[in-house]
Amino acid sequence: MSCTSRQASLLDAALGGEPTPELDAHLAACPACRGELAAQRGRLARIDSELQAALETTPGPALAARVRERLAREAGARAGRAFRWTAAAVVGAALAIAAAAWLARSGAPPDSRRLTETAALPRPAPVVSAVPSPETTAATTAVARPRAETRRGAGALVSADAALRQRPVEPEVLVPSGEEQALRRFVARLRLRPEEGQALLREDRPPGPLPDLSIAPLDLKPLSAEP
Amino acid sequence: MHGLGGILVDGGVTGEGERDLEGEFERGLADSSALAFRVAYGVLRQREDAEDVAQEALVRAHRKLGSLRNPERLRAWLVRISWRLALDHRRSRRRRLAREQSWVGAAAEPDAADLADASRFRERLWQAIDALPEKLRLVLVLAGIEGHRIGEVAALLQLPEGTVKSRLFLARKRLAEVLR
Repeated sequence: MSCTSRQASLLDAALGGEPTPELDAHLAACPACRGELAAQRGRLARIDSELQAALETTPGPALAARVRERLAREAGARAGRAFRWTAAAVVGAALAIAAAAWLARSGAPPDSRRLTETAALPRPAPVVSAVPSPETTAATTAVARPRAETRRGAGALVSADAALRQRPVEPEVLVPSGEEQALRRFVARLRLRPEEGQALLREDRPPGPLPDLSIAPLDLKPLSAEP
Repeated sequence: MHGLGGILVDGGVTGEGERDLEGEFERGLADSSALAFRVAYGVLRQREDAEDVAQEALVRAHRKLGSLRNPERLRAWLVRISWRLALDHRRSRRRRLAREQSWVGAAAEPDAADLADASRFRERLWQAIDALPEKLRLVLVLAGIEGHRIGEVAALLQLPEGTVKSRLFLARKRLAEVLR
């Protein structure tokens, strides 16, 4: 093997590779290759030292200060953005509250107005037991009072209804508005003539007009299909 | 203590085990500035440009503090971003120089006497370095920064030491062949 063909092996050896026994033997006998190996090592050392010297350079003292300054500037910008968002949120919330207050002052929202109107509607006559007794009359009066008080507010209405639900269920008759007196007369007549009431309930009641109960019969017109 | 990683490793710990990342960054700023600057300088060989790149890399590293809590990863990230930014900077600088040279005409050819000059050797060396594949070049520059400590370079690149060693061997071999 010639000296020229050993160049790659010499460079590997210069780079720190372990020389083969054959290369070692050649180097011992060849001063030119020993010189080439030394030149290669010198060249590599120069490369390393040049590189290291170039990279040993340090930045100017102002670099860290510039970085700090820029980070502070960016943090300030971030804080500014966050403040603007917060301020926008606060203003938005304030506007929403103001709008709600204005609506409440100028008129209740539709739902609450409906509730108020419902509470103010003329209610049917108080519930009266079909067969009133002193006890039920007293109970009816007691029930009617909280109902009257419920017109003051929806909350009270709810609590009064709850109180009603807790009371024992009694037979009730809904009296159309304006017919309270007629019902009272009917009940009084039943008290005086209970046989008439029994006659009404009998299944074998003969066909015919009902006894005169002083209640005007309903004038119901028969339904007619539209052409 | 060295660079950003050293600082983060040795950095203070606040209550309940929560690391004071901002404090660590601030305390390590001088060392990490040097690391970023040297990496950038390895590409640019121009102080002002390298400082600009280092500044940008450090600001970006600061933004990454929350997500890169592992100090070694953060240091490796700083090296990579400095390297990338420096390469981008050099590309734009080359375009600018090419524009300017087209105005003043081609540069004079160097004569043989200049080749023996140390500055000429340095110039040829950097030309050879620039011609290296990027993987070899980065290992070579980091080895120059870290004084050829393979372990340090491997930690910076998050690579096995054997890989770093072989890449460094190849890089120096190519340089020696070019500079023969």
